[in-house]
Amino acid sequence: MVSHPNIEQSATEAFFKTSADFVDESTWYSLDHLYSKAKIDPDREQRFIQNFDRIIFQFPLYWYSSPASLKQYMDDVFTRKFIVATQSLKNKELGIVVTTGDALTDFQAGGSERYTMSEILRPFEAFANKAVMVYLKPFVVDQFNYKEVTDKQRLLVAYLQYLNAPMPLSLENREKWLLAQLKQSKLDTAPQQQQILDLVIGAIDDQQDQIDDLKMNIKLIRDQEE
Amino acid sequence: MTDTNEWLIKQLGQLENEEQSFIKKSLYLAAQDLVREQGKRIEQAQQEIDGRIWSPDKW
Repeated sequence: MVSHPNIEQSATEAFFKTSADFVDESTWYSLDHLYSKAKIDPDREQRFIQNFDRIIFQFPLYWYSSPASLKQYMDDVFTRKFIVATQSLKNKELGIVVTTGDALTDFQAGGSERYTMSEILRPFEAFANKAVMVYLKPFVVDQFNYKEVTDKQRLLVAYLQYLNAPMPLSLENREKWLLAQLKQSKLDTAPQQQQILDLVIGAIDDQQDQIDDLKMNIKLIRDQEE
Repeated sequence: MTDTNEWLIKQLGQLENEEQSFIKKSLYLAAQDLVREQGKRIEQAQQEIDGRIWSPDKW
């Protein structure tokens, strides 16, 4: 659910929309478009939102909160009955993708913004708590326009994982997710590249097995020590 | 870095260079990062096992 009053002019949102389109199971939902058409139908929205396992609020930080459309949507759709009485979003995940022009390092004690992102985003965390949702670690994108190409490549993959990889984003979960993507993208590559990809996927998987074995051995040794 | 990891990174780097799509390029780069991370974990785990097995307490 993207809240951005000038979404068409935003290079950051264009980047994320193109990325999100790559994930079949994801739906990009612009709240500002929704509100520009007509009065919204809260019942319809409530039914719609229940179709998803992971709900992500995505927005640029406007005066330490979301732009108005997200707040309006929450006020209109998340009724007390829907959230508290029937617990209709219970156990769903709530993620936050927040973009800011300031450096993330400014958001800390002694920094120019003083408060951490965790503090600033607390109202969303409180909402997730009330809705008995699983609050995910916020995905903070700072100074997008200053990022180098390789930083953007890494950001893209981290964003895709935030959309649909199993949480938490441990090495094991990231490995499984990445191999699934490589298998998928293998389908439309040349036969020679497919062969290489098969070998690569196999080798990465073997390494993960090796890591799992080593972890188990370490656990056995540690358990015997104490 | 092991021979396998070097080979993996080389292959993935080549795939990344040959690829036109920015998203796929990014996936190949992420796979290289993952391979490096795996290599580090394996090395650290092996060192931890060596360290614990050869602990002076057990001499």
